[in-house]
Amino acid sequence: MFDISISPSNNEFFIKPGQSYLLAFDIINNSQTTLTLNSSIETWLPKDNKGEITYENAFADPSISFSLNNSDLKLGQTFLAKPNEKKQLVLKIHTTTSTSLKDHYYTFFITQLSPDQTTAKIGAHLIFSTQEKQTASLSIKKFSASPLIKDSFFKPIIFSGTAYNNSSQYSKLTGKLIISKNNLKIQEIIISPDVILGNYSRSIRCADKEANIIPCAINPPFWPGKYTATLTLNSQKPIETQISFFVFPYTVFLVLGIITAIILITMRIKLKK
Amino acid sequence: MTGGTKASAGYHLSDTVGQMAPGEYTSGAYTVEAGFQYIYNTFNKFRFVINDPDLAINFGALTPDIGTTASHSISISCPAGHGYQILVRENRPLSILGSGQTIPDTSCNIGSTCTPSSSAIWNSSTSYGFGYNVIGTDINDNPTGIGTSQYFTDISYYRPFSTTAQYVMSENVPVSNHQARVTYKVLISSSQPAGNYTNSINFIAVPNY
Repeated sequence: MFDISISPSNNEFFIKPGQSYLLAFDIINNSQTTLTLNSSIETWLPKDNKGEITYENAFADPSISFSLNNSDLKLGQTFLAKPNEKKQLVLKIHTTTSTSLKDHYYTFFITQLSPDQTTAKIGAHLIFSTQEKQTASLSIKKFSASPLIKDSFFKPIIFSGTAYNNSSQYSKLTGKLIISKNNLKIQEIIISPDVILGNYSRSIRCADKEANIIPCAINPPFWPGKYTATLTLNSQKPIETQISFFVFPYTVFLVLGIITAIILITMRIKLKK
Repeated sequence: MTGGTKASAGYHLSDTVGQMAPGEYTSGAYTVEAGFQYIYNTFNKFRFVINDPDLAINFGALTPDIGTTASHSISISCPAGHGYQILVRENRPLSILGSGQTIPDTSCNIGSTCTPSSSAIWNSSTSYGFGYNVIGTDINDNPTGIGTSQYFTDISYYRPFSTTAQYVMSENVPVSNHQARVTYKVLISSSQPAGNYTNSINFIAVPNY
């Protein structure tokens, strides 16, 4: 049985070159058996704009080293976790004055050592910057609303967009999506505070006030007319992108058109008789 | 009692005001986390489970030209955050240690070739090898494909293992106890030398950043 939880699972912080940083992780063995575990560090690269990563072709900076600050445990050393036991591992990140000024991406892994065939490991990410703190410099790309034909009934209107981080330092997205009609705000949605890596892009997601992910969408029915969606991201200067679209009860008019056509055809046939 | 998170340009703060004796208290198997800060601990917790008491898949004695399958379930929770990725790899092909004899990793049906990163149908009784699939399920073990449909269309699709970790399940939204069934399949010919073939499968679960 492998049943391990780790927290916090995502960690972002700054370190000045030549300094160290401590990070405490809670490791819980949720199973009813004693597990043999060890710890390790791997570096990663971003894989896509949705927060996925890859460990292929990722190379660690040799000037950064890691150790455990626990008195009874070293990084890579085997330890036991009893049933339902919570262990706190304190990871120490060491940099040197020669550490390059950039952002670094690592995963702290807890691996179960099993004498049997199946093994598993679970990780928590570290994103840290050894650069001086920069002000976010973002841009918005591909902001759009779908579907193409927006009907007053039946389908929600879904908004999508991509933020691009023009700086070399990670940042957290903050901003809002405002949908208005005739210059009157009808809905405001918060942008999910996702991490956007330096010189990288991230798909924009929306969140409610409790930070739960929700669709970036408005639901029917809609009054017919012209709508405007404004996406604002907080950056060096707040950046804003706007799109406009038209909503019309196409389905109702289509049904009415078909009924009218059937009536006209029926009347014409009757007149011919 | 009040509390919550506060943020300015350079700082993030979570606080608890008015809680009697805030902090973490443990007694036996019970833990009390008093105070609003602990809400965020719970949200930032990442959990992975392999539901196999022995962490061992035993196919038993194999019959040539008849596929043998075995399975276990996995589950993942990341109540907040950005989703997860589960990867899997093998340490080596199924083999008899020290003999050089192996059961090769499957290529699936002839004409529907699968690779370590791309699945295909494998139901032929003459396409020999060792492979696997991962299918998202509901709590009653009914296939849903949630988290896995981008890697395996349905239960007839398989892939060979690789020594390089491959993605088998992922989502980019917070999830709680999302489950999947991992099915291992082996099919040998009558010319496969007898012996105990073994290898080790390694699962890797990481959150999205």
